Amino acid sequence: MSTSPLSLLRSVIQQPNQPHPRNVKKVPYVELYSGRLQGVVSSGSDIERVYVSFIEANTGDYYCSTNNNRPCSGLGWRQCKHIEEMAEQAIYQYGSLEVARYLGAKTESNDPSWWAIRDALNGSQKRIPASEVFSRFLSYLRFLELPRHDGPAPEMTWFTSR
Amino acid sequence: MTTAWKDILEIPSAVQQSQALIDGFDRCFLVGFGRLGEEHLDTLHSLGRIFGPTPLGEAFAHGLEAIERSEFSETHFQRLAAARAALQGAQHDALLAQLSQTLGRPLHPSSVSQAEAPQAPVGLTEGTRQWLTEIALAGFPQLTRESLDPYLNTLEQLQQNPSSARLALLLTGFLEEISAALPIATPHLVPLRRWVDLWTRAMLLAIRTPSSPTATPVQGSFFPMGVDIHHHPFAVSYTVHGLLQEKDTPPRWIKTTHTSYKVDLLQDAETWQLFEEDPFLEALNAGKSAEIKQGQILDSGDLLPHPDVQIGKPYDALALAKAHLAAEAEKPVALLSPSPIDRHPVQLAFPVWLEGVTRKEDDASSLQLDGTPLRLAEERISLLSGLEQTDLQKVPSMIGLLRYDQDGYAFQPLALVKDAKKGKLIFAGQEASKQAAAKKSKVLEILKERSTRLLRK
Ligand SMILES: [Zn+2]
Repeated sequence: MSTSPLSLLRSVIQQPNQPHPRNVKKVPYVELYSGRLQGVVSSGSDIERVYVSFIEANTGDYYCSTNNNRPCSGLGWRQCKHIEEMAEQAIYQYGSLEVARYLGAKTESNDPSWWAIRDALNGSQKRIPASEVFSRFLSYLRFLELPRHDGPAPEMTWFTSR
Repeated sequence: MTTAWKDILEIPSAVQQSQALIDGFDRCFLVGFGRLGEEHLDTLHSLGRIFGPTPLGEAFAHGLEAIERSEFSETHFQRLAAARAALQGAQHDALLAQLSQTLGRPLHPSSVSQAEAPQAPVGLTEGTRQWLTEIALAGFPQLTRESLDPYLNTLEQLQQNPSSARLALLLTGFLEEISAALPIATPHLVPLRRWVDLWTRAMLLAIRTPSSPTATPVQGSFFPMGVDIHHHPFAVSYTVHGLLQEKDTPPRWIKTTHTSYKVDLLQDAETWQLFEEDPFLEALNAGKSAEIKQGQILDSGDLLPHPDVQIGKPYDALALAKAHLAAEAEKPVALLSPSPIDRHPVQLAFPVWLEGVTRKEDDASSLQLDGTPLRLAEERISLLSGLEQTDLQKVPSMIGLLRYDQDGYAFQPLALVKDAKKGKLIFAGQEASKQAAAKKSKVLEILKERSTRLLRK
């Protein structure tokens, strides 16, 4: 969506719809936050299991662990499929250029594939506690528990999104 | 004798003059108040002179002197916010006065209830003012993730506190918007007017939660005329607008609003499931009136939540619009003005009936009223409204709200006349009650189920 300078001067500017509806079942949570692409990924085989995956900007360091903080068995000298799934959905949601830009991956393409982004980063395993990403996901869901507001809300007049 | 649209839509010169002052003030938010240059200080001084020897003028001058001495206490920034809001309040009043005069609509001023509003904990509002001050000192283009993150904890607490609901809803959207724009590489792409608006509103609401306008009992037939829908990634709000017909008084334009937090993934029709059943939405969908047996209405025209309501009989929205909302209406609808603290040009929502609208050939969003252009306020039309682009681009008759923004008046449709002969109208938000009752939201179910897996030990 292009924004003309004239509409930029207005008080009410329509925001682009964000994010693109990704596959929530596969990747319940994903974000570009705190210098990382991070998220929660459903196990392909076990309905009860979820993984927490992340990849760090600039270094390209990565990790993946279960909800019990056990390292993902798919991790070895390369990234596991959970990280790949998370990245695919992140690209779907934010666009590949934005993911590449956020991660500091220098690629030639205007629409780089995840492979191109990953190769431009080339990091190694680095452990972080899954709880950091868990709590981000939980505080995201907290919005659904907040009290409703009945009555005038004139401040909302400033907000519309497509 | 009807006033021509050209005169109705003329912008009062006072509004244009104060615009330049506001623009000058806003430019300080680009460099940051910590690094103002001579030209910024000159602008601020000329703004201060407008208020003269009034209490606000003196407080402003005092605050400005302090800032020149590099004393950056948040109380000085409260005064800057109050001054900017006063200018915009005056703009709002000038616009409303001109419209009510040229369109011959009676205007009822809003009085404020003596009852003190419940206040948020002092620590939270103080923390908010402090953070807003830091933002003003840095200037928008200089903001980073580190400018926002330390405030998130305070915001979470504000969100849980019903007495700071309005402030929290505003700041949740504002922070999200700044976050999404980071890093700000090009200062001229900062939506300056908007962001300083939001900053000012937040500062005012963080000083104190305002008292409500006076409430009075109400009883009568409500004829819904459409829904105005607003949302940012983490909240959605809808307002049902319509005509209230009481015994022996001219009809009034009133509204009722509900707001809910949400997650950003929720953005289509599923969003309606966040809300409880609403008899006003039901009435709109059924094309019937809502009979208010017992309710309370604020001077601002806002009906208080949960009145005693029954669905009534079918009504002729087209006839009501022609009788009460047309430019030449014989029995024009009585207007209510916003609460004093809410007066701001973006809050102008002046109900009108338009007929015989044509479009410019090369620009379907430029409505033509007897040769006078009026912009279609596309930025205010939510996808959730259900209004279709093809209809917006061609129907000649509409009910809607006259809005105002930086570049003049604009029109936000609430209802489109799809078939003039049959009198068939499409209302914004008409399907909402149906969608609220539809199948449960899949996205929410999945998110909740997945989160329980996380918690499993
Ligand atoms: Zn894995």
